[in-house]
Amino acid sequence: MPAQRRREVALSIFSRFTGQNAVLVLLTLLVGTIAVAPLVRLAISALFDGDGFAVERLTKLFSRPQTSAALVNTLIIATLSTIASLVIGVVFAVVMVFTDLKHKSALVFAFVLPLMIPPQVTAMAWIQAFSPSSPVLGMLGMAMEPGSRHPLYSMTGVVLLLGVYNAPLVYLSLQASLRRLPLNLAEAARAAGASPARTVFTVLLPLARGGILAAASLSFVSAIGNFGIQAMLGIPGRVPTLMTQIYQQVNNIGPSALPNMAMLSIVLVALTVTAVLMANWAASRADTRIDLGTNRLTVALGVYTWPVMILLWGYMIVSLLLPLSALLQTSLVPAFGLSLSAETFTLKNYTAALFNQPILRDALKTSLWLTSVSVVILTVIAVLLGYFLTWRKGPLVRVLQFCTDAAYALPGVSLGVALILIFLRPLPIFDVSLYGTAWIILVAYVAGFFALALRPVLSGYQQIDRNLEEAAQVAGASWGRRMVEIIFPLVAPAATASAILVFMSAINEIQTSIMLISSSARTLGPMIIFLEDGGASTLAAAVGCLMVLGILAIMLITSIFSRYLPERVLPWQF
Amino acid sequence: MTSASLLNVSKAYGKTPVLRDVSLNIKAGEFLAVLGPSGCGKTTLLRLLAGFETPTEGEVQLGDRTVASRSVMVPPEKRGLGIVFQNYALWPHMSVAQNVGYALKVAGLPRAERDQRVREALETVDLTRFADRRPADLSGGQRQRVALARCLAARNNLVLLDEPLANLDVRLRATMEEEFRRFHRESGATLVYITHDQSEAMALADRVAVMDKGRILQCASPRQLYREPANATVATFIGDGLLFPVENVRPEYAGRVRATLLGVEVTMRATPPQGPVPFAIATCHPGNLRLCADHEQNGLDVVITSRVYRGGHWSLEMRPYADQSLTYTIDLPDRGGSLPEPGDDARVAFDDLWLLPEGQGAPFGSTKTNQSSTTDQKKVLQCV
Ligand SMILES: Nc1ncnc2c1ncn2[C@@H]1O[C@H](COP(=O)(O)OP(=O)(O)O)[C@@H](O)[C@H]1O
Ligand SMILES: [Mg+2]
Repeated sequence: MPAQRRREVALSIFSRFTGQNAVLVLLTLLVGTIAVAPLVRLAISALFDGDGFAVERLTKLFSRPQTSAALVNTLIIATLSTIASLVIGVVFAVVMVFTDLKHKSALVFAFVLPLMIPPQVTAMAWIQAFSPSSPVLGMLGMAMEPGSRHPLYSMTGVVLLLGVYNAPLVYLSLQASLRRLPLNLAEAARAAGASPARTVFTVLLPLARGGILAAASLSFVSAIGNFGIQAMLGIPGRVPTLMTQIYQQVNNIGPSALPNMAMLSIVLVALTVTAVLMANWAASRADTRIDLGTNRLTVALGVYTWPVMILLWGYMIVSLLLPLSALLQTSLVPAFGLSLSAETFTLKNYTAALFNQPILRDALKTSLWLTSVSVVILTVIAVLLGYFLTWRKGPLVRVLQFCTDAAYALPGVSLGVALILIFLRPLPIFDVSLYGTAWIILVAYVAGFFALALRPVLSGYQQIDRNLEEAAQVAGASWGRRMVEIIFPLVAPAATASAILVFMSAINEIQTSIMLISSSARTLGPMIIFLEDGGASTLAAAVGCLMVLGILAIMLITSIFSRYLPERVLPWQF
Repeated sequence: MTSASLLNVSKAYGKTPVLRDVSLNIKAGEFLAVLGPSGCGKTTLLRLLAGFETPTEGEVQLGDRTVASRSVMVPPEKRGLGIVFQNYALWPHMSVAQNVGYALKVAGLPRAERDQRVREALETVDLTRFADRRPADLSGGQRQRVALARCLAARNNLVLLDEPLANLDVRLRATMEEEFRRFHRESGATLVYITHDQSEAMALADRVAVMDKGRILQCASPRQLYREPANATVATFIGDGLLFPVENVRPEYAGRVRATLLGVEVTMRATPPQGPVPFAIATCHPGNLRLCADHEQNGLDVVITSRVYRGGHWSLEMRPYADQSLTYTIDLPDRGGSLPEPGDDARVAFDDLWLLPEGQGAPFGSTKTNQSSTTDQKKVLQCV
């Protein structure tokens, strides 16, 4: 019997090794390499030295006061900023999902916009907003005294900015679960005599507990991994975190610091994995009953309309207008600290940024081609991967699922350390060195944005009826043909959305880029930090404004064409 | 025209059995309906035929070709059959004509021949005007016809239909039933039609396979299912059959037996080689019982428990004195005469009884060692 069984298995494996399975095997190898190889490389470097398990080195590392300070700071910052994000995000989600407020699309657009702006630009804008020449604060007569210590260069500053930055994440994650709550539960509460507001607070929010926990974990992970804000505020404010420490040590000490920094990267990964596992656990306990096709509970705000409007738009002014106006002002004056007037107004920062700075132009060029190539590669991978993850079962698909989850867990700076370790020496067989070239950054983008690219595509697949593929199959179409003629046209909108998201994130990417760039391969994202460090604040501000402008343009254009895209895959759509 | 067979096919998802030892022979050119409650495994059976699922045990054959067995698995794209899905599965990014012609394009037919066949297929289902529309701009019935045209154009010899009318409103169903009949006539294809609606199955099919809990209980012509159900489950499912315990079954002549039904001496139809048995179950439909005239002595004495007028006929619920645990509901045509009230005694006679060939030998409601009979018995108790 076992022999016969073995023969059957072998036979069936052989007969099923069609194009589809070949692609599945290749994809598993590729994704496995992308997702798992960096983790393995980090672990090996961190734990082992030339002569075995590195007990002594690791004991020394963990008894260093900087290490524990960085770890404690990271935890405090992530926890407190998550609480801030939760408060803001939950309030906004409840108002958007359950009330009859007007202009929701505009509010959502403005609320989500900060999330799309690269964190280093946000940080710079906030720094300038609290400078003595801040336009908004100046108007209110609240501008800082010149010479006083900058209030944002502190733990509080980092926490507040991360809180504001990640609040849209909480909203995005929570609104999806709030929309899924079955209406009849709300109706039952109303019938029992509860007022609409009471229904929201006593029935719907408790039911959304799972969703709130998931949102919290998302915001926690994202706070840990936000290099831009931690670096721009934390480094001058002497608030070291794991991320900034890794960056500074690798930058200042060089390759000899790598093993220890690999260990800190592993600690980062462990924190992230813990939070992700908690989110999964929360999601598995969440109420997943769906109640489609009915109207949702809508609370008429009545006399509260104006207070709520003022609260929300006031928040937009503080979170958007305050920093961005400062950034704009700085970009329009010849030197940092001057206030904007008819005499000081100049466009020379913009002309410099756009035309006179070969370094910037090269960085833009490099970023553009890196981003475009990454977008193409990632879209293809995401479409194929989405197919297998959604519709196929089996051991290989489980491996694929595991690798995909692993890719979520790797913060950018850790990925950067891992890639340095992998590519520091020339590749064994080909004997070429990628280190210091743009190719290593390309690898980083593909690995780093893999999770981001996959998410919209997966939700796209979930909206496709599998019968559509099966109908093509009985019509005689091979798998490759079905992918091209049936599946791809059907997931194209979701794939477009994913391409847009990857483009927007990669073009301004900072964390892995800053670890991997060299004089021969510069990207746009880190330029802000370099210009700011080099004292060219006004030029940095102009570059930042151009970035925001580009982001805004993409968001507006996609909003105009939103009816060709699937619903709710672009975060700024209501 | 292709015949299709399932030979002792079982299918389990993990440890959950969904089909158990199913054997079914579909003749070439036949219109076969598969009828059963939702969740009984009908779609799984269809997907096994199509090749989307592999059988855990057993074989699937199309014509004289084995397409699925322990060592063979022909994928759906190589089986050359057509499917009409419950939700039609029309490709939203193609026009109606492109949908209909897709299989021909895949097969590499020359353009002119392709267009010709698409035109013919659209003409047959009366959709020529809609050739350039997108499926999204069609009504439910029209989408259904596009799905049919797709099979017509591909000249599929075997067409599988999974509850094709379930998504349509009642008025449209009658028209579409006619459409399926015409499709069968004009294509000459073998049709396997899945449904949970027995009137649909009876009206359309040459033969109906009745399924329950992953088994085929009986596969026969609609008339035979109605008049000669094989077991208690089929009897109660088709046309609300009533079940009566009978004792002392004695053959009278070929196809006819005598027996004692709750103390009443009756004769009934039975399968020809019916031998004598001490216990069995008889069945008839609610319309096959009538109230006895006062002088008739041979009838079942009952007490009426409720009476409902249902337009054209009365429903009378009653309990026989011989066994008060049993309840029967019978239909009486409204002939204007007077009827007994609830609480009255009455006597009923049987027009046309049928002796179930399965589940004989043990007293009604008693436990048996035979597995399937036990479930049958449970059904009986629930139904009566
Ligand atoms: N892919 C699957 N995995 C596990 N169970 C399944 C799967 N498909 C169907 N089933 C189970 O098999 C049983 C029969 O399903 P199905 O064939 O769809 O029934 P029907 O079409 O008669 O309603 C159901 O209980 C269903 O839950
Ligand atoms: Mg079904």
